[in-house]
Amino acid sequence: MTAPVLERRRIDSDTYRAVMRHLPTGVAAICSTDPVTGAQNGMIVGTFASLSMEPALVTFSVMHSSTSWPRISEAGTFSVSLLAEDQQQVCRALSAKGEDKLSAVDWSESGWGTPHLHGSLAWFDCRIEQQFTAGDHLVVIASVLDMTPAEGASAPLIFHGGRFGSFRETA
Amino acid sequence: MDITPSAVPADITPAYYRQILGKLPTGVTAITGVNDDDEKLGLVVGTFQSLSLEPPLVMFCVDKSSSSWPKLRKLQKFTANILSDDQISLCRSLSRKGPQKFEGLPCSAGPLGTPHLDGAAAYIDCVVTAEVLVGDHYMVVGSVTNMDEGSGDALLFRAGKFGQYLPIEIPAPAEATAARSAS
Repeated sequence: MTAPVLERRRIDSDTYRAVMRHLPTGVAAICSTDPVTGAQNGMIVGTFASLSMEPALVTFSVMHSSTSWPRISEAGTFSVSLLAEDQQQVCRALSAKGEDKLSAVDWSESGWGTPHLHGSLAWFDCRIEQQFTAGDHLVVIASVLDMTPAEGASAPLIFHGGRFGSFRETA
Repeated sequence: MDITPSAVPADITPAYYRQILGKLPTGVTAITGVNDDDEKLGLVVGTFQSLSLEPPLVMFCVDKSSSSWPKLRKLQKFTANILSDDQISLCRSLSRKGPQKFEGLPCSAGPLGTPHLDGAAAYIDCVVTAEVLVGDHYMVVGSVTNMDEGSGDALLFRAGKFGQYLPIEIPAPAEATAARSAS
C-alpha cells in the first residue's frame, strides 16, 4: 500500500483567522488574586471548554506570549467567570493591557479566595493540574473545585465573526 | 500520556457539571473520516477549538465511551465541519449511535479524502498530531493541512438547545445619531 501524497498547503495566519471566524465561542474571564501582593490579575479567553465530568475538569488555551497568564497562574487557584451578553465592558476592560484591570469592574472574593465578576452567568473555581505547549499556545487543564450558577436566567456573550453577540434559540 | 489528577476536592456530580457547563454556548462541529472500506464515519462535538496559528493547530475533546472515535482514530486524519444553522437534522443524524449514520447525507471528498458535508460553515482538514487521555475524555490535537470557508452561519448549542448567533446592536453615540439625522 502506498501512502497518498498530500498536497500540504501552507496555511497563513490570515487564512486561519478567516476560517476560524466561523466558529462561535463563549467568552470567559480568568482571574486570580496574587498570594503575595494581594493584587488581582485577569484575562479573557474564547477557548474555555468542558473537558471531563469524572473527575470534573475544564480546559482553555492561552497564547504563549501572554503576560497575564504567568501572573494569574502564580496563584495556582483561579476563577472562571462566564460572561453574560451585557458584560462587553467587562470583556474590554480585561482584554486591555496594563495593571490592576479588575479595578474597572465589580467583583467579590469567593470562598476560594478568587475574584468572581459580578453579573456573570456562572463561576468556576479551579486549580491548575497540567499545562502543555501546543504550537504557539499553552493548553491549561484545571480541576473544578466548585461551580456556581447565577440566579435567574440571562443570555451569554458570544464572540463570532469578529463581533460580540448573543444566543437566539432556534424556533 | 494519561493526565488524571490524583485528588479532586469537590463532589461535583456529572448532572451538576452538565447543568452548569450547559450555560457555555458552543459551536457544533462534525468530525468526519472515511475508512479503507469506503465507510464514512462521523461524530459531533461541542468542544472544537482553535489552538495555534503558527503552526496551525486545532483541538477537540471526545468522550472515552464514543464508539465512533476509535474507528476515526485509526485513520489519523479528519475533517472538522463547522455546522451551519440549517444543519440541525444532519447534526441529529450524526449524533446517533450505530452504523449508517451517514446514510443520505450529501458530501464530497476533501483534499485528504475525508468527507466535507454539504452546507457546512467551514471545513478544516487535519492530521492527528497528538492525543491525550484526560479524565473521561480524549483531547485530540490536529495539525491543519487545509482549510476552507463554506456557506451559511454557524449553528450554536446551549443548555440542550440549538440556536443562532444574535448580533448585539451597539447603540450609536449621540453625535453620530445627530449627524445621521441631519444629513
